[in-house]
Amino acid sequence: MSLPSLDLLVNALQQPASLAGLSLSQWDLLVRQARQADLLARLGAGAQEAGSWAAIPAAPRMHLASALQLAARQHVELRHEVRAIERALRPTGVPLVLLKGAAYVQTGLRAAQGRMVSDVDILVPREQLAEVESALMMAGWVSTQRNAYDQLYYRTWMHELPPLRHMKRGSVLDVHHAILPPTARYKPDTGLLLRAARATGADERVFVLAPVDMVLHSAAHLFHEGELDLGLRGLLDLDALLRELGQEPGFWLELIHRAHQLDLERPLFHALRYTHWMVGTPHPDATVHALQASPRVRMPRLQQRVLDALYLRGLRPEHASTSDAWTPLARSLLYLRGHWLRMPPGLLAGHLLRKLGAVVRGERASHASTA
Amino acid sequence: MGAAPVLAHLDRSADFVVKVWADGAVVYDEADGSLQALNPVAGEAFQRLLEQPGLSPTALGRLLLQEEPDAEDLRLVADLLREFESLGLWERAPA
Amino acid sequence: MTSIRTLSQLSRDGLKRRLGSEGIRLRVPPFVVHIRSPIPVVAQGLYQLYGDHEWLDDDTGFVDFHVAVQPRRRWFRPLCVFEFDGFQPFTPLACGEAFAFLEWGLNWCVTGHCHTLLTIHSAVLEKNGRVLVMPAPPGSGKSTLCAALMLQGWRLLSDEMALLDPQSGHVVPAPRPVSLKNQSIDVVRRLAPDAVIGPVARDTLKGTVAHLRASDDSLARAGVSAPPAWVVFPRYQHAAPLNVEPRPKARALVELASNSFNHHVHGRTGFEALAQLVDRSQCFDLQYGHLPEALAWFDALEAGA
Repeated sequence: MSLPSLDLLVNALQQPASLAGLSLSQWDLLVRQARQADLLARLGAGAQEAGSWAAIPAAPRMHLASALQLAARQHVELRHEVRAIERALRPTGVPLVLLKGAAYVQTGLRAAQGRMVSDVDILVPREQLAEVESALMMAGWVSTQRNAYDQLYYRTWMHELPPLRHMKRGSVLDVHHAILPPTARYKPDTGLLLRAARATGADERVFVLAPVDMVLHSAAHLFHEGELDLGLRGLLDLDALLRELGQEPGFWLELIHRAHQLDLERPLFHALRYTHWMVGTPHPDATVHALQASPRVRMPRLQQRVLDALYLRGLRPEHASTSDAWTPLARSLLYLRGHWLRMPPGLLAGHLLRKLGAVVRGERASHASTA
Repeated sequence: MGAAPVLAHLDRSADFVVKVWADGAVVYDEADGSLQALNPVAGEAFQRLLEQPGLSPTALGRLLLQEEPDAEDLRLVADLLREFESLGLWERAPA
Repeated sequence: MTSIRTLSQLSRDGLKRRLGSEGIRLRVPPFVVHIRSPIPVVAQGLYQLYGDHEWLDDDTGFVDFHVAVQPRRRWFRPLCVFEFDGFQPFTPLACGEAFAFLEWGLNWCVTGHCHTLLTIHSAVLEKNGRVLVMPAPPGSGKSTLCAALMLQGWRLLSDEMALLDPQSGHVVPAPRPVSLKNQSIDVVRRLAPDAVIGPVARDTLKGTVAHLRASDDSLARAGVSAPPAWVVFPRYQHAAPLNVEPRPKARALVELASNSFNHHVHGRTGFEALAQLVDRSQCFDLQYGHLPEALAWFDALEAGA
């Protein structure tokens, strides 16, 4: 696959020791790509950890240091924010379960290093949603969606409340009652996730998902969401989670079992496939074979190739230097696909299928020319 | 009237930095990055409260005045603490 | 050893051609910027005001900010838009403001992306190794004061933002053309008829805007940081008598923080750095109505310190 120069960014992230050998013009491109993909701080964190920080020329280093400074400040604000949310929820008795970035930072996982976290995401039981919402509003959070249609859309079709913003602090809080919308084809059970949640080291009143659930949530989030600008970052989150959590004995077996339980085998399959292809994440062959055997995962080879083409182009950062002519189309089709998976299939328009056909034909032609 | 109330504060004392000059003081709150200007006495009072958790109003008055506080002084100290509360710098622990 | 090439070594046409195609790389201390723009007034402004800046004629180096001001045709009015590496942070402006747009855009690049230093919205000048910081909201007259002080021999570090190094406590120079508005353009022309003033943009949101070229000395010594000694909050009041009050340090600190673009990013280190700045400096409120009186006061302040 000859998509331009993603290797520079991915290599820099995966082999931070190699940063010492980059030329200034490589640094120029690297900083711009990393900034676009919201990975500048992560790049810096990796360099510091690998001991290559001092070898970076002063000019690009300033940009990495600035991004790290921003990320560090965000983490401080995040800790305060989590404390404030916990206090607000205390009267309801609903435990505070953090998701995604906030969870990684709270737990001190490697996935948190240099990660920019702007919103806090939490998971609560659907039955207690009203209680939670009202406790949060008492403590100063207000809904950001003012118009009635958006409110209705969120509450009917989505798995989360419209985002809440704190009146004084301006921070944003997303309250989820499921990790996928009620209308999606896959329906992972929130109750199972909540029951397996565990307290983090820092504060025993704050919970995060069990390790396998964190991975599955990350996979589901990446491969079902409509927006793909942070696709590469999402892959790297998964990569960091899998490398760290995958060390635990029994993790991979439990991962397959849990994927089946939560009906998330297909997103997990995509997650393992694309993290491996794009960023070299290791995983046991046995895991992938087990997934492929599942009826939920099997698909016609042509469809798999189309999806591969779409994802490989869609998961790149949007910077001009990492795209090719197909990418805007691929990106918009994936956006639609994301929505297709959210809404029942009957709502999908016919012309989209025709567009899929065009991408497949294009693929065949390019392969023929390189043969 | 019962025993003088003992002050207890939120576990937020680590969030604050105080700078005191002869003609004024500033408190920085790391949680939201805000700065609050205070008069020098208030600044010093806040500094003491951060250094010594659980300080009683009488003990605080004594530290500020370098002598035993009278009733008027204690009223002023109480006002000061109410000010701190309303500024969000302090919180009384539940009884 | 290669000699330094400056922008003035390019002809007007050579500059225009490059700006319209591959762009031009300039050292604008402490950064390197790459600028592209096919709009004539941008070439004009750069030619008049950046002649002595180092021109980097090869593309193998590192550039801090890749920027462009591109035309956008909308119905009847030609507009332009500022781009930072393909991203547009601002809504379009009239094409006549394109050079001013570049200047505002460059300020945004620094305050938005440089967080190794504390950035404070203020004019900064140096004399005899000591730095004057003049924080001021718009309308305070700081730009006129800044331009006048520079023309009187103070070294310009910046007309818009103090870059404070939290480790050393020194201010890092970033001299660029001094932005002038409305009457201050005339004031400066009267004060220094030979001063080089760039393109004038009328009817902008800020009124009439133009830029005064930074003094040679300011650019030549752009690598020399210096410690702060004075923090002065100016306020221009037409025909008012000179009135100076020392400002209590606590109030100076609060005001400085509210004029800082990024102290919150630096957390308590930022607070400590600002507190130290205030601690080490004499702080004043200056009300003035006659420029010569104010300038005389600054001279006396500097001499007396």
